[in-house]
Amino acid sequence: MTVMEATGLRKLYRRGNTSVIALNGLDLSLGAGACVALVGPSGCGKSTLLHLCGGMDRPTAGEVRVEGRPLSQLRDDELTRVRRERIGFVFQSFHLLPTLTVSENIGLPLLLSGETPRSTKARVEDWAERVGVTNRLDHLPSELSGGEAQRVAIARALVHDPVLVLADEPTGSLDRENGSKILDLLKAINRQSGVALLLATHDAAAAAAADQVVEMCDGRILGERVQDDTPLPSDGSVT
Amino acid sequence: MILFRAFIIRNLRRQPLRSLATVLSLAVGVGVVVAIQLANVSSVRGFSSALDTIAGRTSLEISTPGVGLDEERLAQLPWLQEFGSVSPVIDVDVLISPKDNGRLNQTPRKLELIRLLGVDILRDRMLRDYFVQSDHTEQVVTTQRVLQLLTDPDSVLLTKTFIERHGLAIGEVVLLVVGDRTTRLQVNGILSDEGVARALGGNVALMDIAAAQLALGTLGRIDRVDLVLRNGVDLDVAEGMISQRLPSGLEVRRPSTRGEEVEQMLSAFHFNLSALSGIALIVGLFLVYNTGSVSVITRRSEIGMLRTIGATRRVILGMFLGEAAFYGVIGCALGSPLGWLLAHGAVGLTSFTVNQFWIASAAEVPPLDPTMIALAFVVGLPLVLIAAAGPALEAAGLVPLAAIRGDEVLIRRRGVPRRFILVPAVLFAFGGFLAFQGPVSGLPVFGVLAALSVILGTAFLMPAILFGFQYLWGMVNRRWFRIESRLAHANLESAIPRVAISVAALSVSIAMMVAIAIMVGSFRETVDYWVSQTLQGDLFVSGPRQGPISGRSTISSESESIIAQHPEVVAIDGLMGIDVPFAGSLVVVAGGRFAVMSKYGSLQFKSPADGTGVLETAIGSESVVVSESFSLKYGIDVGSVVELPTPKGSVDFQVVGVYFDYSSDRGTLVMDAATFGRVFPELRPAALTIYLRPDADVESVRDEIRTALGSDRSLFINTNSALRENALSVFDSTFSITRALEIIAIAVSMFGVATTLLMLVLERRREIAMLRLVGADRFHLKRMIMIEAGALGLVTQFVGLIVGFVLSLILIYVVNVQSFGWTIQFHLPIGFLFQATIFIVIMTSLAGLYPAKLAGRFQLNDDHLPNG
Repeated sequence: MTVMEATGLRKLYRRGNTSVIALNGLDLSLGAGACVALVGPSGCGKSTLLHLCGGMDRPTAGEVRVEGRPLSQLRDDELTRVRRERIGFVFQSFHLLPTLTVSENIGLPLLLSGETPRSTKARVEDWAERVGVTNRLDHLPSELSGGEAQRVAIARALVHDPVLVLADEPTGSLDRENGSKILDLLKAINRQSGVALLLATHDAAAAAAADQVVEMCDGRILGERVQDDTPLPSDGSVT
Repeated sequence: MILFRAFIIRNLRRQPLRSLATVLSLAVGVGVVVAIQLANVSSVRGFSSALDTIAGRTSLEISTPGVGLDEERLAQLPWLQEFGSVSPVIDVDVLISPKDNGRLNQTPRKLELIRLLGVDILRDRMLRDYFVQSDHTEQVVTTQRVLQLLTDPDSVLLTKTFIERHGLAIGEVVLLVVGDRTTRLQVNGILSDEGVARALGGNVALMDIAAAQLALGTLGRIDRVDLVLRNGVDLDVAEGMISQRLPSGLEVRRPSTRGEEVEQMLSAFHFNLSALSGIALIVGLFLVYNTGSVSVITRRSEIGMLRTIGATRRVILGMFLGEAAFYGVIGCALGSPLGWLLAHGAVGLTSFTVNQFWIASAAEVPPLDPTMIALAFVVGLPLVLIAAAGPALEAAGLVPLAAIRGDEVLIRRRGVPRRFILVPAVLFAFGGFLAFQGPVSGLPVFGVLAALSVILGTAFLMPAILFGFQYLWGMVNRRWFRIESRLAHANLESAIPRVAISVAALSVSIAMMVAIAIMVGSFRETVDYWVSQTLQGDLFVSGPRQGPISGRSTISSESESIIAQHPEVVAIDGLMGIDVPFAGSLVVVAGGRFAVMSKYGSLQFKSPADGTGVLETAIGSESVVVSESFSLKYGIDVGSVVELPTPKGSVDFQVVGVYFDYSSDRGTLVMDAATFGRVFPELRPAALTIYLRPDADVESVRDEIRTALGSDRSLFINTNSALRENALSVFDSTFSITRALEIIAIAVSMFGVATTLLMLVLERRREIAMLRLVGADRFHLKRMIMIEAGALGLVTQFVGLIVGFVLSLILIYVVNVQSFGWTIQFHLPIGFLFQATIFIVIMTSLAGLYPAKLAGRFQLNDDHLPNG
């Protein structure tokens, strides 16, 4: 079953008198349980593609469908609801809310849906255990290490059982060891829960963990490859 | 300088809203201070400038102060000619009706206050300049012609300004009203707007001295003898010599002395207004501190970078102080003209009070001179730099690496630094100490400083209060509230260092409002009780002029006998008074009929308890009862002896009682009417209190007396209830200026809360974008900001109520007693405070509307989205 489908996506940014083409007619489709890595040089359009797929931004042309619903036709409140209930986000800089505790950060999508802290407690604790931050639930983000913060961000992205998780450079701010652990965690969750994972990365190891690698350049897809157990080059480069 | 331009000036341009808000708040604060100073100056200046203009070239004046002198005494003063030219003068405020338009006691609004000068024009031209026209041709006539114009006893000359303002013509009749006397006068000439005609905005009338005596009903009496010294005669020497040669009961003074006495008399009123106007400035300074803090907090990484590449702490300090100075210069520059504009409103509000209680003065806002502009800068700039010093020092003290990383920004803190407990504790203790100190030269300097200590203590305590509030809110949140409230709670907790100052500013404004509300409410209750106890008469008769009892606005014996003939009237008390200089100020010496007062009246005595007995023993003797304000101001109590200047020389009076009097803070001494008539020249009462038979129909008797008096007597008869209402409405009007100042302070601080919230929203753009990403819709965000605003309103009102209560105690028991000498019974206006609480919480929530709307409008675009 197709979870997310992007067709003919174009995105143009206007900055003063100049225009920058971030995406130039791009098609991409993700099925349930897929794990796809977007690779390419900086500025090739990876983050823009994630933003459009997550309904954070609207395309200049083309369409993104999540579970068959065309995002361009949704009102702002409907789009917000799709993000809140069907999509999860993980970012390089974690972007936890610094004023909320770990448990509040994890449960935030559920609380925004109108649930009470009492009703979310079990799921929050369950996800905290799955990502290994049970002993940090009452801490503030400023008291966490980078790896721990990213685990909390992953728990927040998954606590509401989304069908799609978008991860933008999830290991970019972590050392090799923590990066590796985060990748293992994402992969394990992808396998266990069947959530589709779309990953934008420069990290060869991260790309290697995906089932499919999509190589981008200048807003287009240069090529795709389905990965089996073939290892990537040892220098870590993808393109 | 390049760094300052690049880092500070460009940033100001990038943040136009914040810059504008700070500059405007500062301008309003400085403006209010300038406005009150101008209003204070103008009320004295209106009097002094009229004094100077009318004094003309007069060097010295001879009289019995407050009483004038009998014309016959001029025969004792021929030697005055040795020193220069002399001129006997009548100089008195009277009412004039520009048109002869029917019943005077029905049309009080058509009467205008005017200064009547009665002179012997041939003698007086040596002292004053008169430019008289006999028609509208602008042709100035000779002195001889002026003499002819004034010969007729019904003749009056009015100024060109007055004539044009009322559309009068030569030959028309105007009505002169003095007490219950009405005289028809014919306008026989025009005074060009030069010389004395410039005084009091043209409200000057000139008559021959004998004609003036006739019109005033004071034949044989003059106000003073003016003297201009011959060239080469030294003023000090002449004053000393004349003083030695004057017969008993007469004094020689310089004209300016009267101005100085008035200034002294108004000093407490002016001091309190100035102190109150300072509140608006303090609120403005809070906002400067606030802006400085936000400027530093939002640019920590830039400061860190500057420090990393070699900027010294001194450079950083200089930059942020420079930023504040920049705001200060613009704020003060705008504040001066703004203050001048505001002064026009302030003069309107204060001149009513000044005219009602102290002097008749045509207060006009003086032009904005360099002194006032300098005042704005001298007061404003140093305070701005002090306010900015904290944030600037914080910027200079930043550790470069931590600042670049953004450590400690938007982090929830779990405690209050100890200094936020210790400093307020010291300030509160210091305030308590100051509150028990006595006045300085009759001014409540320590009382005001005590209030300032409490205000500063509150400001320093605010972070601790907010932490406490957050703790309680957190407990409630966990149980009952939804995510928006939890987010708002978390946001505010992290923003405490930033919002504390805005909240403190608003709390202080609210505290002042609460304090003044309690003080005014208590005062009103006290006055209401006092009026109900003291006003025991059934009817009260007075002339058309409202104001102090002293003056020529007297009631004739004919009018009194008409009233006395009414069968329902059982007794009449009459109150007469004069202004007498005492200890450098002016007090009222009054006469009352003690026999009537002790039998029918109910004067409330502070000491001794048996006031009635005191009045009975003082009948006909040289004893006085004094008002509480006189007793407190001059440290005079029962048993003291006061020496008063009288036409017979100085006379000692024994103080036998102290009574409560809230009608004036000038200080009043009352003696029996018989004593008054013996010591001072016979003076008719300015007001009558009429006691009727117990079963009399008050309204009917009033109407019958009114009919018996006829329409030509300009007398007003009030019933007891009408007079009480009038007294309270006068009371309310006198406090309108304090309310106006408070509204300004609250508006400025409300503005501060709105801008603080706005800044917090702008600062949290990324966080808000994150919330939108994880599914928060616009309504979540709007509710979150509104809850933050409402919570701020709640905490400020709570603090404002408590601090306001403390300040009200200082105002009532320290400032008021030391300034005016009034004992006020404490009364809590609960209804008003409840309404104010609801109002403030609603208003602060509304202050959050725009920031909330803005937060809801944030689009998830590339600028807000997380990169990477």
